[in-house]
Amino acid sequence: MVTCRLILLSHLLCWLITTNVWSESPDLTLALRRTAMVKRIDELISRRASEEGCEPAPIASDAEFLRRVHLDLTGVIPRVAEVRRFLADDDSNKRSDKIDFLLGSSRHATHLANTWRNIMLPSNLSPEQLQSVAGVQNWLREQFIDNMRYDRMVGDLLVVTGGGDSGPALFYTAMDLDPEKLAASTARIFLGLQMDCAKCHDHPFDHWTQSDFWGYAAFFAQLKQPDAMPPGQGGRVIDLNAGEVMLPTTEDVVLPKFPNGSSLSALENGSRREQLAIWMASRDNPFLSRAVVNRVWAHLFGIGLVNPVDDLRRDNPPSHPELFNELTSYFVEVGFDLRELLRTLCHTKTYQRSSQVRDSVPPPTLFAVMAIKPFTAEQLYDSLNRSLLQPAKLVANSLAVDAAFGDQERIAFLAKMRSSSRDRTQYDLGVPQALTLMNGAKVRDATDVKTSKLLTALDASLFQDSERLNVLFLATLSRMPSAEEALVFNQHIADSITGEGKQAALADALWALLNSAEYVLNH
Amino acid sequence: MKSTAAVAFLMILLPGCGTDVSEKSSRIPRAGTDEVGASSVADPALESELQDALPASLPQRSEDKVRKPEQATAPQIAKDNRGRRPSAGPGDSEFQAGLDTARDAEPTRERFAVFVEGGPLIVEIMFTIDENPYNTVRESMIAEVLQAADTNSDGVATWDEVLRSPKFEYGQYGNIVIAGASQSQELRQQYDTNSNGRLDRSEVPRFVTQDRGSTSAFSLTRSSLNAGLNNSTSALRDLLDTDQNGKLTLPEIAAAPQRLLTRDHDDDAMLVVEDFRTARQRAVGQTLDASPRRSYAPQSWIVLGPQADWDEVIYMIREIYGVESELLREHFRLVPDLFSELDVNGDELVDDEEIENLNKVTPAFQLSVRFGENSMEPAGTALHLSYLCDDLKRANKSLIDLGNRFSLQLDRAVLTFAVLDPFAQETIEQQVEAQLSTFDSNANGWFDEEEFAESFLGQAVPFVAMDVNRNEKIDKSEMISFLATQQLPMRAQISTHISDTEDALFGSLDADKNGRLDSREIAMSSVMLTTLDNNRDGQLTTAEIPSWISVGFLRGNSPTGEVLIFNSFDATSSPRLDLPIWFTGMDVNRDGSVSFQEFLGPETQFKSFDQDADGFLGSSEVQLIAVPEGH
Repeated sequence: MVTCRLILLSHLLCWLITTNVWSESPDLTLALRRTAMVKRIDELISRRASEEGCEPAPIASDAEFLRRVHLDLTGVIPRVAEVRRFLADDDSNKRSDKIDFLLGSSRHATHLANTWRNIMLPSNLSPEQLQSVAGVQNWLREQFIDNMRYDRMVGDLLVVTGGGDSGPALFYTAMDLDPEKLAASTARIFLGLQMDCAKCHDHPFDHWTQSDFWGYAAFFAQLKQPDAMPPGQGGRVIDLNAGEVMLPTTEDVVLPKFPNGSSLSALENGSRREQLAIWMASRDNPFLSRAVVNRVWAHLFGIGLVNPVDDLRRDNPPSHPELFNELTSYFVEVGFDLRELLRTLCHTKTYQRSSQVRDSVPPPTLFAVMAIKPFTAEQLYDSLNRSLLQPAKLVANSLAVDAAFGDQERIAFLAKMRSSSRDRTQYDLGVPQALTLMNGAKVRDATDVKTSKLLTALDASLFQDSERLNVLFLATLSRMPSAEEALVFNQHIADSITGEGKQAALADALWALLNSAEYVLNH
Repeated sequence: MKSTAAVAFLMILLPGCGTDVSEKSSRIPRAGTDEVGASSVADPALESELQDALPASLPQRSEDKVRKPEQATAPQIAKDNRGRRPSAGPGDSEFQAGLDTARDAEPTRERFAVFVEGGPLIVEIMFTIDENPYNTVRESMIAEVLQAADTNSDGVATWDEVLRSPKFEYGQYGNIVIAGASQSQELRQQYDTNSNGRLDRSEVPRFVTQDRGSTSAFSLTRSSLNAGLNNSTSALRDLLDTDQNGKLTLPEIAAAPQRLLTRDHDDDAMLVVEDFRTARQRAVGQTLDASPRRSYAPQSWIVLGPQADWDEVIYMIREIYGVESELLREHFRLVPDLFSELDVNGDELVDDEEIENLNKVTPAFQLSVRFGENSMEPAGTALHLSYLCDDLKRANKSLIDLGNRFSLQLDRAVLTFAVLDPFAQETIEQQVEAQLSTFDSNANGWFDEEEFAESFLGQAVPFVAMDVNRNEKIDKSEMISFLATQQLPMRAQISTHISDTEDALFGSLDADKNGRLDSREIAMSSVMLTTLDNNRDGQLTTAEIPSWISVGFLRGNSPTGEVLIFNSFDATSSPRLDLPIWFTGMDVNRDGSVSFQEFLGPETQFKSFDQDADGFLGSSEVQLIAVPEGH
């Protein structure tokens, strides 16, 4: 009996050693947990769709998936070579590999930094404040490169002091260090609460009272910018030991109070912001994880499980309450890991469904069909650069770490093309924006046979006409042309007899592809 | 480089841009940049006398035997709308005389020492601006300013005249705008350094460059505390050192390419120094740069020539090379010939007296630096290495010449020399055209007050300052004339920046020394790191990383000159005419090769061209590609 046990024990040890299960167990556990969550998401989404009598869309083609996942995770369409390689790859695990690759890429961190910066900063920054945007961008990007725990990142942001190009204090100074604005903004962004409706009176639709709002605002009442700043440290924020908020039109001082109703203990050390940061990352705060899970869902699916994404009040229930709860628990269990949350969602069938429907379009909140998201201004500019083989413009400014980030042409383009809508599925750009795309200098130069780098590259004696057309489709729509499209386009090119005429015909084709609805949509 | 120039010009158009208040209100050299070469004469009155006794380097005209006021002695070199001196025309005899004198004058040779491990390297440079010796151009600028300041034409320019003159009121000569009596008083206190009421020659440069100019023609600035220690402050090494144990281990070295790419913000497989500095490092770096230099910190350079402070030179050399011992041949192992030249008495020791021979010894490098509109033509002549000593020829691993930048790889150091001349890249006329094309909203070729207010110029200069003929419009000629005068001092201003704060490991990985890590260099980074592991113990310590010292020559003396030179050097490959145009089109990041990622054709086609299977199509591979007929 003892011998048998020893043999069994030795077999077990051998298995443990050979499978290296001890060292891999955290990853294995995570992978198993992810697989279960992926399955659960699909199950809950399908169940609800079925209840509504709606048939989910089929799984998207490889080309559709690749373009979507590139845009969602890196903010830009894939390169021609990347599309070719992905489409030619017959590995059954290629979608999963691509998701992992993109989540680990530098461009992913840049894209998330762009996304969060746009959420955090107001759009009406002064020219002086614009110079400090790099500080916010660089700081955010570093958090995303290191995949910092989300609760830690928010906590760090809440106690930040560095400004200028060396820190994200612009988040505070852009709101003039006003406790009222900071309270409204942080509550909306990080907690998904529109508490500012309780600024002047108790919230009409939620349980927030006026004193709740001002109690939260009191955490930001002791901030100031130093009178003297060392060179390069402009925009710093420091905490004081004094400063209070009062109820409007009264002289009633309101002491700090967390949104869950608990008060700040007099015995606790640290500045008010530090106390808020500690509470923000604590299990006492139920809002942080729910707010970010909803935001990440909306980032990928166009709309949140709760809409608007920053309005998680009690009488605004999620479309899938069970899913929302389970996904939030999952996010907390995996350690507030944003990258893991994105990875999990991208692995679902729900994310990988096609956006094309045969019959009527089901309600978007069912997530039975992938939502079509118009490009953000950044996605459009960066994708145009990628399609047209334009490098980012180098900026002679040590502060602008991301060359594209300091590109004046890009800044002007973004200003013109920026959408004012918070709904990612709405296309609200007007005539000026459309004209910018159709006739603007950027598209004009890029589709001119004399100045276009892409057309220059296509002038290669390496390619036959049909291959040139393939390149144009791959560079713009990230797919090969359909047989019907190939016929029409190739006929147009073939009609041009001379070399110059052919180039002009290719330029026409490029212009048409760039101005197609398919190009400016993440579908 | 266009964008580099644009920033430089913005600084010129917006006087004070990039400087803090203390720079304008104090005569103390800019914080963090210790100027040497500025007059070492302590007594301001004596300094003034010396300046008078040794005015311009130009010979005086024969009729000037009787000593005349200083401002009349140097010839005036007029300028055209490009800020250059025009060719002489009829009636220009006096002007032409000055021109010829300037052109014929032997350019001054400036000399300084750079301290690297294994001995000091002596650098000798000749600067020219538009083919004229730079010091004569500067003297001419000073003469012109003095002449403009002498409003009553009595031969003496006084501060009273300057501060009341409409010629200086709006900063027309690059000076601070003179607004009101209290500011006049402040400016007088700031710039009339010897309090004699006269605008002396030595006072002009600082006045017209708003303290950025040096009182002497040649000056060096530094921007670090950690001379010779930059191998221990490498942000790139910090990034690769994932376990933060201070060493790069084999797994960390193997993971280098992937880790480097996390800093590729715009995903173009090109990295520059700034990509590796974290927000914290940027903040710390700026604080250090802005701090006064600690007197006991060893420097990585020192000025020689007539301005040399020999006590300091001797102190530095002993501090760096001969601590607690005599200076022996072994301390000069990189430059044994230099040791022999210095050791005049042949006793195998270099004593203090012999150190002073540094002004006479054969330099390690002789450089000529050409500033001016044509300095980039023919390409590669802005910076010319005319001599390299035998010591360095023996020690040099590779010398890479990029035209206006070259680098020398030594065993324990990388040396980079670079030139930046923003004035060579855009004429004043082009600057004006750029302003008009952007801000002349009705495209009538001139600015009304509203248009002007929106332009970059209008943000720096009031409308009346440029509307000289008071016709309520500013036309092209008024702008050109204004800018030509305003930029005159900066066009005559040359500064040399020595920086040892560059990221040393970056310098070592940047094999072609073009200031960027391209996709090949990133892919090869593990191999490069392995070669730096001198003792082959599988770990790369900071001591094994060669230091990187950069010397930058800049016209315009921007306060961020060193940043402009070293961090924003656009060294991407120019399109090569011998390569097919498809190659140029596909080479998106302009690194001179087409990676698989950049290639537009099918992968099988790429593989068939990529003969060495390194994932890149280089120029040699491209030239072997046979073009099928009929394509």
